[in-house]
Amino acid sequence: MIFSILHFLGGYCKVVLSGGNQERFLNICAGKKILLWKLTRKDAHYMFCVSRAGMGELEEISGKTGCTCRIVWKKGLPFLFDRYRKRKVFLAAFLFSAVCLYIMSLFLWQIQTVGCRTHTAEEMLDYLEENGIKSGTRLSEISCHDLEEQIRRDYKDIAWVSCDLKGTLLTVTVKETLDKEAVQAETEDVPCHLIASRKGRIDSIVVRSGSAMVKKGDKVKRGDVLISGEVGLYDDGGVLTETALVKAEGDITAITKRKYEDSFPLLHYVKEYTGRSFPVYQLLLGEKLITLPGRKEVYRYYDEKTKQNFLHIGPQLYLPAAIYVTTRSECRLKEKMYTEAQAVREAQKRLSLFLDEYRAKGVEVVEDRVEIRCEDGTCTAKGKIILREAFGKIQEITAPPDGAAGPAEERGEEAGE
Amino acid sequence: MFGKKREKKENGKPSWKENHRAFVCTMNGTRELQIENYGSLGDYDEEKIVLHCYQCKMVIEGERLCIEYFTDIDMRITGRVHSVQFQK
Repeated sequence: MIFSILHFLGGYCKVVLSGGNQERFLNICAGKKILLWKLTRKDAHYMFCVSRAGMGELEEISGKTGCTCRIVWKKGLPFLFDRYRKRKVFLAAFLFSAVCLYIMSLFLWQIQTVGCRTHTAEEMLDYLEENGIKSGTRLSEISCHDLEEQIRRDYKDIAWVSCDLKGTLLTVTVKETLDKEAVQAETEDVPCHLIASRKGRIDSIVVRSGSAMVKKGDKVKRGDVLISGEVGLYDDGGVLTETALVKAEGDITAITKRKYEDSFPLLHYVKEYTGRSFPVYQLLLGEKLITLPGRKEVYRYYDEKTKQNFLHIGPQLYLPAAIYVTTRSECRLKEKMYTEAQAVREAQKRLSLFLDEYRAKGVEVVEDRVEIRCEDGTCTAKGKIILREAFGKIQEITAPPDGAAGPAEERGEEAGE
Repeated sequence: MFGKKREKKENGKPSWKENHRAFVCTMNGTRELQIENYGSLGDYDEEKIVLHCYQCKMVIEGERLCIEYFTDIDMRITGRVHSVQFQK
């Protein structure tokens, strides 16, 4: 393989030898230390490969022996350069682009975030920009270790973060968790009541801590105490001696009603695509957007879809350029009128989407009493939706009532004294 | 001690004695044959190669014989070698 590379660098050619005294020709070549290789015999001819340096002497030897040499092909760098000697500008452009590519690979051009849910990708990018990391930053100025430490310090709800710099791509992978401070506040034993967040009828109540103020079947309104954080302590005679404050805890579900109202006109427009479309190409260089020349047509009504393609070589070498392809498709707006059956189906479809949102949150839909009517060119869906949902919100007890003790720890300390 | 001193040749070429040493033939199985100090090429065919060595004539017979490389010092023959004969 090394010899193949050396031969290519030096240049070599394949020669066909014919005529008389061919063996004498070969022997003279050997005597003059001209290396011949891949020597084969075909009919009355010899074929061999000879280097570019040895090629010059073959003519003299063939004249001496009476043979004829014919070059079949030439290979190697010297012949390549000779073939493209008039293409100096091409070579210069190639070298220039190689240098530009090398210089561009020294900068960061693309940032990707993985695992962001509570914090959006845009929020993370803004945070990185505030810390001096954005598109166009030199790679030598970025320290992944320091960045990871900074993100962990500034974001309490990020349990794990990893920054990976490969090529011109920075990948920030985060793993979110619950906010530590919020979880700490929730788990603190702060005396509180559980009150009704809205009007409803209690369906089930399970008390873990505190005193139940309602039972199954009771109707409550907004603000009513469901589980009280004030626990009365009675003596043997049944007389209230003191009231202890605890954190009310329990699982309460209630049947609630929600109003639902939706309307839409029976006359609507439907898009019909004609099939005609044209693309518009735009090039983004850094922050400048350049519209490339191309075919343009004017449509009265059209839909536009834009696709963004970042230019990159391989999976990690991103370039500071992107191509936007905007496709405009012509459409015609056609007036259509819903029939009554179609309008009812459409209204039911909208209602179903609305109820699916509740189901996704874990709320059970018991019944929907929605009436759908079509009149005066409008379809109206109006009614009530019966839901069974988790009920109760925390209300802190700010001032202890008269004769009441603080939380249980305080009573323990007093007993210790 | 009293004889004439022979002048040493300073042209760097090997002497007649050095040239007319025996050839060195190295064979790797029946597919490859390397010959040093072979002399000159007599005849070359895909089935027969004749080498004029200094002390004898070497005839190599086989199938699809090919000379991999050919210099003044050595040569390599590849192909299926059936026999190597030495003739005076």
